Amino acid sequence: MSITIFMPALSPTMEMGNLVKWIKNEGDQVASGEIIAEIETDKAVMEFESADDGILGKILVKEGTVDVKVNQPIAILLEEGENINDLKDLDNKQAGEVDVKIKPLDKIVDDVKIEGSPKIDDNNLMKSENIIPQSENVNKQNESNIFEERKFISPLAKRIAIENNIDITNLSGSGPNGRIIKKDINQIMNVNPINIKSNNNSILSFYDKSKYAEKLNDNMRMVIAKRLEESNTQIPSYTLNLDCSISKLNEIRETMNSNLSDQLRLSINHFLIKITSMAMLKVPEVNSTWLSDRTLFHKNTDIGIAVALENGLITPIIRDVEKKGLMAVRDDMKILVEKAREKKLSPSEYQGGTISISNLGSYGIKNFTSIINPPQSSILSIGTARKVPVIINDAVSIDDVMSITLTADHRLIDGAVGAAFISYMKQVIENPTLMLL
Amino acid sequence: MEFEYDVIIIGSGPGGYVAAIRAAQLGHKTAIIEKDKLGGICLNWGCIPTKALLKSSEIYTTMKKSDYYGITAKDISFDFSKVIQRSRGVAKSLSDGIAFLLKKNNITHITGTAELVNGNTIKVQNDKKETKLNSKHIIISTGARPRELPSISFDDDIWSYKQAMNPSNLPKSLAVIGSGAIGIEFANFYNALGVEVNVIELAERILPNEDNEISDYAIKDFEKQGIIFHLNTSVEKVTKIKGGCSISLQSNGNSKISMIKAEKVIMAVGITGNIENIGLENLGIEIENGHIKTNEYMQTNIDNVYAIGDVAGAPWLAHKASHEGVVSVEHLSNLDPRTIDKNNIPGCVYSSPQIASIGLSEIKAKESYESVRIGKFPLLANGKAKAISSESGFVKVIYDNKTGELIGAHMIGDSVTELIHGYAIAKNMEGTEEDIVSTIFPHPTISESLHEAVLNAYDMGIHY
Repeated sequence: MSITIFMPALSPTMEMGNLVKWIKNEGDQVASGEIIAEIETDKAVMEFESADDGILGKILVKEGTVDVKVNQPIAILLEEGENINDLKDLDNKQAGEVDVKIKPLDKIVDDVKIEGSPKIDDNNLMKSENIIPQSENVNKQNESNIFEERKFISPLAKRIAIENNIDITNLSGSGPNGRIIKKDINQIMNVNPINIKSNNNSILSFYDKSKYAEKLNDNMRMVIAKRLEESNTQIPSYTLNLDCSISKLNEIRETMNSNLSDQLRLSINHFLIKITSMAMLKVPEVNSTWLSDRTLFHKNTDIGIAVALENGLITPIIRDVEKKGLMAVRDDMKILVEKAREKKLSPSEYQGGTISISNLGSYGIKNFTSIINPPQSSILSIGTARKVPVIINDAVSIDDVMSITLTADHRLIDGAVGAAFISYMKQVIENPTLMLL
Repeated sequence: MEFEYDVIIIGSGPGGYVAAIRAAQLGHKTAIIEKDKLGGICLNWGCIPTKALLKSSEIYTTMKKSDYYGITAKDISFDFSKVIQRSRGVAKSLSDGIAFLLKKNNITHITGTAELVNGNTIKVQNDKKETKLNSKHIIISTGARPRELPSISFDDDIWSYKQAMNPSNLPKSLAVIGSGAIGIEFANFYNALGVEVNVIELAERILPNEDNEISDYAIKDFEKQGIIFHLNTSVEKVTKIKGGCSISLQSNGNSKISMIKAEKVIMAVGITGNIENIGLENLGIEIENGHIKTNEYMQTNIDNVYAIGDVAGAPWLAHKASHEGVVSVEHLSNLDPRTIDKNNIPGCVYSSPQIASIGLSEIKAKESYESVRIGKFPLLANGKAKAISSESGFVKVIYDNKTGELIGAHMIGDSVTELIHGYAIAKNMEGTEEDIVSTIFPHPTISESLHEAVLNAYDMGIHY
C-alpha cells in the first residue's frame, strides 16, 4: 500500500516551507532514515528524512516550489510490488481525498491540551511533553489523540502549576470529571499556605508585636531571596582572596582622566571590568555555564555589575566586554546603572552573563565574599583601596592596595583554575600596560 | 437481606427533601419521615416566611419615601395581621409544593416521629400507632432548634423566631438578643414597622461572622434607621414587669448593670442540633459539640447511616443542607461526589440593606495567606444604584496576591444576595482574578460593582 508524504512541520512555528531540492528521484529506492529532500523552513534549510522504506513513486511538489503548506502532500512512496500507474489520477485529488495510508508526522501541538485563560504562557508547562507520539494513523486519529490528551485544569490550579513549574501531564485531578484543581497541585508541592503561616506564627511568637514594624516582602525581594537561597544551597562554591597594588593603575587612570572632561572620567570599576574580561579569555573555565548534563563555554564575555537599589539589588550585564574599549564600557555601565536605579531594566539587560563584580570599596570594606548569581560561574568582590607599608629592596615604602575575592562554582572552576584567573587579574592590575596587548 | 427501602430520610427540611428527590432520581426506593409540616424550618418558620415579612416592611419603607421618586401616596399604613397572613400563606403553598414533588418522584411520605432501632431499622410513632421500617441506608436530617440562654427560656414574652414571625399583635417595643442573621432580620423588620428595637450583642460588633468592614457599615446604616445597639453586652436576666420585660444588661469590663424595657424579647443566640430522641445512642452514633459527627461524604461512624444539614453542624444554612443531601445520596450510590468546601458556601442576610458573603473575611484571610489583595467598590459609584437611589453599600473582594485565588467576597447593599452567586461560581471553578476581569458584566446593573471591586483589587478600577 502506498504512503503519502506530507510537508513536515520542522519547527514549532513552521506553517509553510520551500521545497529546495529533491535528493531522490522518482523510481529511486528509499530506505527509512534516508534523506529524500531539502526543505527550507522559516529558520533554516533542513534535511528531510523518510520514515519508511519504499520506492519514491511520484513527486507531487516540484523542486523549487515555495510556500508549500505544512501537511500538504508532497510525494507518494510505493511499497514493494506496487505500480506507479496505480496512482495515475492522484495529481487531481485533494489531500483529504487521498485514499491511501497516510504517513504521520511529528506534530507540535500548541496550547491545545490545556484549557483556560489565554494570556498565560504555557511554554514552561508544555515544553517537552507536547509531542504526540508517532502513530500509524493521522488526521482524524490525531484529533482524537489531542482530545484524549487534553488536560482539564482550573484556572487557579493552572496558574499555580505554571508559576511553580509543575508538570501536570501525569497528574490526575480530583475535581469534576478529573479536572485538576488547586488541591491536587498543592498536594504535589506539599505546600499548604496554612503551614507556611503556622511556621511564621512560631517565629512571630519570639517577638513582641509592639516592638517591630511589619512589611510584606515585595516581588523583587522574593526573587532575590529565592535566587540566593538556590545559589547557596545548590552551588558548591569556594573563595580565593588576594591583594593587588593599584598604584600603577591609578597613575594611568589619572593621566587618562586629566585629558577627559569630568563627565567622561574613568573609574577603577571600568578598568576592573575590562581586566576581568581579559582574565576570562585567558582562563576560559571561568567564562562557562553549568548545566546538569553539560557545560557551556562562552566565546564572548558578559559581565554583571551589582547595583544597589533602594530595596534590593540588581546586576545589569555589560555584553561583549572583550570587544569594547574603556570608554564604551563606561558608557554602557552609565546607561545600565541609571536604568537599574529607575527600575527600567528589561530582563534581557540583567539575565545571563557568567560573572559579576560587586564593589563595596566606597563603604571602606576591606574584603568580603559574595554569593554567586546563578546561572553565572563566579563573582568578584572588590574591597576598598587602602595604603599599606611595603618593603621594596629592604626599604619600607607606601603602596595603594586593593583586595579582590573570587567566589567560584567548583563544578566549573577548580581551585587552581580559579587561582590562575585571579592571579592573572592581579598581574594586569599591577602592570596595566598589559591591557594594551 | 431484602430491605423495604433503599433510603429512608428522617426530616423533610431543605436537606431531607432534596436528598429524597435525588435518591428517587437515582432509582432508589425512598421514604421520608416527617413529624410536622413538609419543608422543615426553612420553608415553614425560617428562610421563606421571613423573606415574605421583609418584603412587606421593605414596601412600607419605600412607600413612605415615595414622594422622593415623584409618586404621591397618602395615608400609608399597614395591616399587621395581613402581613403575617401573607407570610404564612407563602409557607403553606411551598410546603404543598414539596408534597407534590415527593409524589411526583414516587417518594413515600410517612408522618410520625422516627427513632433508630439499629443500623437498618427505624421505629415510627404516629399518635399511638407504632410501625417499624427497614432500609439499606438512612439519612438523618432532623435539623436544629433555637438555643436558649442558661438563665432565659422561651415563653409568651420571650420569643424564638417561630413566635417572632407569627405574633398576634405588633409589639410597641422589642429587645433582640443576638445580632446574627436571624436577629438582624427581625430587628430590621420590626424597626421598619415602627417598633422601638434594641439589639444586644455579646461580641464587639454586629454580624460577628461577617467581615469587619461589613459589620461596621451595617451598624451605621441600621442605627440611621433607628435601631439601638448594645455591643460587648450580655443579658444577665429578663424579668417580667407590667406590660413586658425588663432586661438587665452588663457591658464587658463594666460591672454596672443597666436596664432596658421592651414589650417582647426575641432570643436569637444560635441553634442547637436535634440529636435527642432519635435513637442515636442505640447505634452508638458519634456526637461532637452537639451535632452528629460525619466525614466529608456526610457518613456517620455507622457506614450506612448519614447525617446532613443543621444536625451535622455549622454553617446552619439551608443551601448547605441541600447540597449535603445530594453528596450523601450520591455517595451511597457509589457516585463519588465532589465534597463540599465550606469556604465556597455563600451566606446571606436579607435585611435592608442586604448582606452577602462567601469565603474568608479579611482578618481570616490574612491569618491563612502570606499576602492578600483587597478590592473595594462603593455602590455610590455605580450607575444603576444611583438611578434607583440605592447608593448605600459596597462590594469587597479579597484575593491571594500570589496566585489570584478569590479568597473571600463581602457585599452590603441593594440586591447583593442575588449577586453573590457570581463570586460563588468563580470561586467554585477556581477562577482567578483574570476570569472576572475579562468577563463582561451588563450595564447598567449593580452587578457591575462585582467587576469593579476585582478591577480595584488589581489597580484597574474604572469608576472608582
